Amino acid sequence: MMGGIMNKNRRALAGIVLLFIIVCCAVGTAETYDFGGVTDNGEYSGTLAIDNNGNVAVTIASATGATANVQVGAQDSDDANGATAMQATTASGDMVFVGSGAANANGNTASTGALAYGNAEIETVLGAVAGGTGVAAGQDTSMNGQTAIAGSLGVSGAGDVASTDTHLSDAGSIDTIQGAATGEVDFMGINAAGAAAGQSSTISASNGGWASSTATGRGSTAMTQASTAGAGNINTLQVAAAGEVDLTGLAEVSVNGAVAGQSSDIQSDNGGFIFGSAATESYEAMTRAEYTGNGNIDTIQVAAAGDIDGTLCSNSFDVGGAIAGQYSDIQSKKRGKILSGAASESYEAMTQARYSGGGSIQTFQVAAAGEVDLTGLAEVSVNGAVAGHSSDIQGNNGGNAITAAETESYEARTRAQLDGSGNIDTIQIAAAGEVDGTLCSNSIDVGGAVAGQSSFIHSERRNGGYANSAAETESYEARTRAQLDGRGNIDTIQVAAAGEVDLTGLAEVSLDGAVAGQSVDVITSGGGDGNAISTAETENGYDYARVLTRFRNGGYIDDIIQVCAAGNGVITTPIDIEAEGAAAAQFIPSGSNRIISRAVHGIETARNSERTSPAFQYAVAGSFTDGVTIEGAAAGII
Amino acid sequence: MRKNVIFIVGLLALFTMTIGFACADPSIPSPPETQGISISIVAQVNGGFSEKQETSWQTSTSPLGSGLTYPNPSFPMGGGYIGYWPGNIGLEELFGGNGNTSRGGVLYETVYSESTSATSGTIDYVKQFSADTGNKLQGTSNIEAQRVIVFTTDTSGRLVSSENLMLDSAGQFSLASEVFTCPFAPQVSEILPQFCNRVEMGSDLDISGGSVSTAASERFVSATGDYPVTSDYRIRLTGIGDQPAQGSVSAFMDVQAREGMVDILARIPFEDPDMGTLYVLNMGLASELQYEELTAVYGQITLFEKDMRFESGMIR
Repeated sequence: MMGGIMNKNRRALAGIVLLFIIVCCAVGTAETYDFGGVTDNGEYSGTLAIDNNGNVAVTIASATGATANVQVGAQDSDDANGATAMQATTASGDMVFVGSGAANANGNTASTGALAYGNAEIETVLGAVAGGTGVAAGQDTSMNGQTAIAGSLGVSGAGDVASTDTHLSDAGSIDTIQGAATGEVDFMGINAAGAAAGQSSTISASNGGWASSTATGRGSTAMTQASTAGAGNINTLQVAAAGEVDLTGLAEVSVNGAVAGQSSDIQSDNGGFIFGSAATESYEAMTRAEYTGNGNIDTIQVAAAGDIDGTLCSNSFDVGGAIAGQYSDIQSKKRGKILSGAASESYEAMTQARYSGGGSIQTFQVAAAGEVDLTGLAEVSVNGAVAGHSSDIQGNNGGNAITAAETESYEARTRAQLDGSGNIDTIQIAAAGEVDGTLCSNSIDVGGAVAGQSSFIHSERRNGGYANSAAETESYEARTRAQLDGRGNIDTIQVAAAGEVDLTGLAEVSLDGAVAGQSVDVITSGGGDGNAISTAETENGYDYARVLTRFRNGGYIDDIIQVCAAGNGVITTPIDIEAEGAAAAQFIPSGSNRIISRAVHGIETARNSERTSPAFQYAVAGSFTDGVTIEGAAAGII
Repeated sequence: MRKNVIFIVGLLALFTMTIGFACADPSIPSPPETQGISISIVAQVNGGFSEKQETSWQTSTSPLGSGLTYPNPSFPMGGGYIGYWPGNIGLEELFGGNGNTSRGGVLYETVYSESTSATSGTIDYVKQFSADTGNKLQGTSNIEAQRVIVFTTDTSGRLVSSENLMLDSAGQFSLASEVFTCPFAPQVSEILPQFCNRVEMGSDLDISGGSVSTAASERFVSATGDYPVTSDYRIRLTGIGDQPAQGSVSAFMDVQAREGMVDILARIPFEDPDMGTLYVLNMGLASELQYEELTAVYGQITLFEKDMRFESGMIR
């Protein structure tokens, strides 16, 4: 699918590319000159255009060495739109350089160049244009050599900078269409007042290469990079822009700040790394996909910082801060890792999917920091940081998916783990700060940290797997877990939150502390053990409450709900539990699994163990209200 | 008469000068091998005395006799415009022949000469001369000459002496960051323009008695352009005891300073450091300074003193 996107974008690009259509120009009277000659070391040819409005455009081609050869098929300078210079050139030699640049009176410059050395050849169409409101430079180049470099750079008089960089470090070839523009720009799906750069490049390398795009301006920075440290190929479409930017294509984004994105495919026998980030002074968001070992990465990534509004990886968002998202697919025989993160000065959220051993990861991920309204993986409004992913992990040797969010005082995390062959299919979200919305079918209003997951784990061998979620404060901790030993499946929805929490869904919970819960659709195993457990405790375990449902040597658990909480608050289930301490409860609609609840208050303990259903089982420790206020530990069944 | 002498001295004091010009004189770095010459002369003679010295020195960043090269890589673009593309390794290799370097070509020439003869009198002559072709910091000199001569005669003896110091410099434009270590210099002017300067100073005297001292010095060889090029000449003639000097003395200074201008029509950076930054330049002559000055006195001279200084550089 992404190859199709890329080809489509490349064709669209080729339509736009030689680019010079971009800029509204004040027409002036221009001087144009052709220059060139032969030196002791090679030959060169170029054109210059200068108009009386201060616009300048230059293009040059040069080659050195005994076999130096510069063939200029077409070379032109004119004054039709400011100053324009372009050429179609084939050059070869020991060292070959072709380049084009433009500058206007407002201090905007744009340049593009290709440099190759070591039995080098370059075939290119390139040019530059400078007008009253902007400048642009671009190239459509095929090149090979021991080392090959193609780059484009746009610098605005206001200080916005956009650039692309394409490198081949140890023999191979580069095919690239790229350009950079500053000023009033309409370019490669970017409409900007600032600076923009983009490239559609294919790098065929025998030992590594990279392609990157960067934009900075208005206090924001965005960058995207695709690289391989070993042999391999990179096929990438990248854009980066700074200023007031409307981006379409990779994502639909309006930014007053900086944005960068890429649609990339890396195939390598020993490397691979794709990275995107966006940052303002206070916020940062990043995406990352990597592997070591043979395989490939196929990804679409976008990162933006500033005031951002748009749709990215199927998530609509409105952010004052930074956001990064990716749709990525890693296929490798050894290792793989994809992560996204976002942070502000006080909050941090991170999501990660990885495995070791043969297999693949397919994932949608989003991370954002600042004032965030996110719709897609979850419906949340956050003043802090949020990260989430929808991932499918298939591994021969394990894998896991992790999401976490934290503040200085609160932490929430969720994890789905597979210990052998099989797959994980999970949606996970974590957020820190002031969080309001719907997350994994639970409506939440949290001042602290919250994490949730909806996960399916399928284990093909006896190693099994588990899904757990946890939340903690400095004084309270709550955890919930679904576990499988052996072949079988886990299907669960889990939520964990810490801080001031109002939760509706698994149960009605309102408390200042930590809460965790899960709705287990099924835990099944052909011959192993399975259990679902939720625990809550206060500082040092003084008050402790736990509920557990389990089977041994094969069996199943289905449709149970567990909730546990520590702190000061109310859990509304079939009964209301108002407690200061720890409480846990579970509802068992059917089956004859062993169900156990246990409560500890200091040295006082209470335990309930049954094989019955339907049942509501609870454990409470601390000070709680059951008609009258009771201090102690209680466990029972209704 | 005494009033007249005082008047002349006062006038001379008025002409004692230190002049400076805002030229691009960037100095020239020394070659790897340097030379030093030093001479000390002390003579006390009743009879005749003669001293002749001529020192000339040319030093250039390009082969002597060839033209001054543009900095590498530079090339004509038509219409008088020059393309200058520092940092581009492809073009540096292409235009890297004929001795051109990353700095624009610079040539400095200097001549120091003295001719002194005395007859039929008593002469005390002391001279210290040194020449050093190595890099010199401010306050030190590449050429330095100091003389003290006392001459008396009871007959028709004469002391005749002339001394000249000339410094001629010319250079192509250069990137300021290639010339200066001071990181703020390129903020003043990113490119140093072409320049062509010439300064000559010296004195002539013909006396039948008196005491004269001269000091001449120059500094123009330096690893960087952070210090100005300097040329100094001072002469002081007095009588001996209560007797004024008798005869004539003159001192002169001639300066021609031509300063270019560089109009940077475009400065276009390229993304990769190996592709450098393109400058499109328009150059020409922006300033020409002519200065000619001669002071001469004759008769009974109680005091003649003149101090001249030429200073040229972007940072002064």
